[in-house]
Amino acid sequence: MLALAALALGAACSPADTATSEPTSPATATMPPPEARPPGIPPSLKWLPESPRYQYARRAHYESSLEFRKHVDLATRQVSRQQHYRAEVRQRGEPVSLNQFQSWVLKIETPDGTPVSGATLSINGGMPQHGHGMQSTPRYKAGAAPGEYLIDGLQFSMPGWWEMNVFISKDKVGDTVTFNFLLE
Amino acid sequence: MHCLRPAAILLLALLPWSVPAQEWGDADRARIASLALRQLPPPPPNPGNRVADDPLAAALGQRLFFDTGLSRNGKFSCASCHIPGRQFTDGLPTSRALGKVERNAPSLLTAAWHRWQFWDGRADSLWMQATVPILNPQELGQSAAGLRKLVRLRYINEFRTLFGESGLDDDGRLLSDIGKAIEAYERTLRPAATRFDAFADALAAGHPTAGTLSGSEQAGLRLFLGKGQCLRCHHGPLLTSEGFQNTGTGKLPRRPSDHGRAVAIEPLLESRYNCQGPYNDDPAHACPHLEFLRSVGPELRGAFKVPSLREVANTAPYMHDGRFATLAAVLDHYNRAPGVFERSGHTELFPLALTPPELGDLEAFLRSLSSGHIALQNGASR
Repeated sequence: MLALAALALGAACSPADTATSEPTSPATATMPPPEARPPGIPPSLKWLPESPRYQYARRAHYESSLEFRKHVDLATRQVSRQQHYRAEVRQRGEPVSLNQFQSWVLKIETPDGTPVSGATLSINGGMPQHGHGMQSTPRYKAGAAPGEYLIDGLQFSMPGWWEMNVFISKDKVGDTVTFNFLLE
Repeated sequence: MHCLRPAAILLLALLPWSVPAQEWGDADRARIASLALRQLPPPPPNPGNRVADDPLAAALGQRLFFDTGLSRNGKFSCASCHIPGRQFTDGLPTSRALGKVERNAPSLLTAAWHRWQFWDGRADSLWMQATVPILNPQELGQSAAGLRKLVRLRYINEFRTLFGESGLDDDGRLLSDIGKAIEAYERTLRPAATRFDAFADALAAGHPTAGTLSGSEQAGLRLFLGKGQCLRCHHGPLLTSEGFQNTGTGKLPRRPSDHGRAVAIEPLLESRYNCQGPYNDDPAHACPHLEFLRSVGPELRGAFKVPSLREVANTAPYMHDGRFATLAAVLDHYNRAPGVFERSGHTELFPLALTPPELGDLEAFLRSLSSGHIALQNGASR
């Protein structure tokens, strides 16, 4: 039985970090920013493949280590990297099981709690330790309540540490929120 | 009574040392139970093939599977490369029929459980898979006219009973009907129970495991579950994730690169025989695997399907191009993970740092996943 253990927060990036990786020009704000590091590798972790710490992160059972608990937030409620949005994800229906298509609900609001409807989303993710992305192409549509989005077609083929990045774009304000979760 | 007390204390003190050093923990017990063949359900239903579980179709499919009339020159059949005595493989690095085939012939024992067929998942059903080698000029190379002739000559009554008249004048439908009968036959196959399954069942029931797995094999199982990281991709009773992964095998010296999954998307989506095509029998036409298909992305390049490890000792050589003749060579590849630090190559593997004795244990365990037999869904075996 697989359980969605939790999601997490992301350790909010420091302003210095985000300034280099996120384009802020309005003209480019609707495009997902280039990744400054492989997804899911926390900012405090040097990510070059030659780095011993990166090698450590790819080791077996990294996700049960203290370092993983310290750096990777498994909360289902997250703040986006530049703190433009708050987002919460929850699964619908059955518990997560491998290779079955999952359907989740994403709720987006501004930091003052106003629901964000009609945003454009770009959803990707994968397994940071393995360097591969998702096995499917998830789609989204507007949900019933303001600020809610239904994400269909999520599929996970392996147990372990997965992450999902959602680039949220509304009124030329673009920002990425990252959810981490463990499939066991 | 009082004189017994010191003895009881002594016994309690000795208890921790009386437990064997290699006891299995609860987490490992649960993982081992999840790999046992006992957990394997019947193949998932395939509503796209209305005769998938029809015994008459399975009997017809079995005759077609061994019929050399399916090839252009009358010398090859499906069984030429999927030899039942070899666990439905051919023992060659890459197969040969009318011409040279680029990939290794995979075993069919677990095919009925897989969503994607071929090493790169170019087919989304077993019957769609069967249509490809029949027409491929390098494999059976048969023509539509040849198939019409074959069916009218040998199988006309079975086809009329199972599929009606419509296929006899429609080449595409006739080919799909042949594939559907072959799928019905392949769905009757099932991997046989192995010594590992006997071990897992005994462990789960609390019975003695003596006589199932040796010490070395159990040590290998421990590595399989832990340090070797094998479980990440090889899990469940079929020991596969059914996903596509890049293990750094896309390039072989002096051979053209094989981009695997990345070059499978186009033929998959363009084929008339896929789930969204006109020959799908499912009235709902539900194809979420195509609707949410990952069709672009760097992770598709050089990615191949994770094969089942059932009967792995009897299905050499290994990998999509049969590059490794022995299990030891495969394990050496995973242990070294070549290509990790080379800019030209990409792999999802990472060096495992297993010692030679550990590699020996792991290989011993992998061999315990093989029985040398084939089981059938109706409980028979041979």
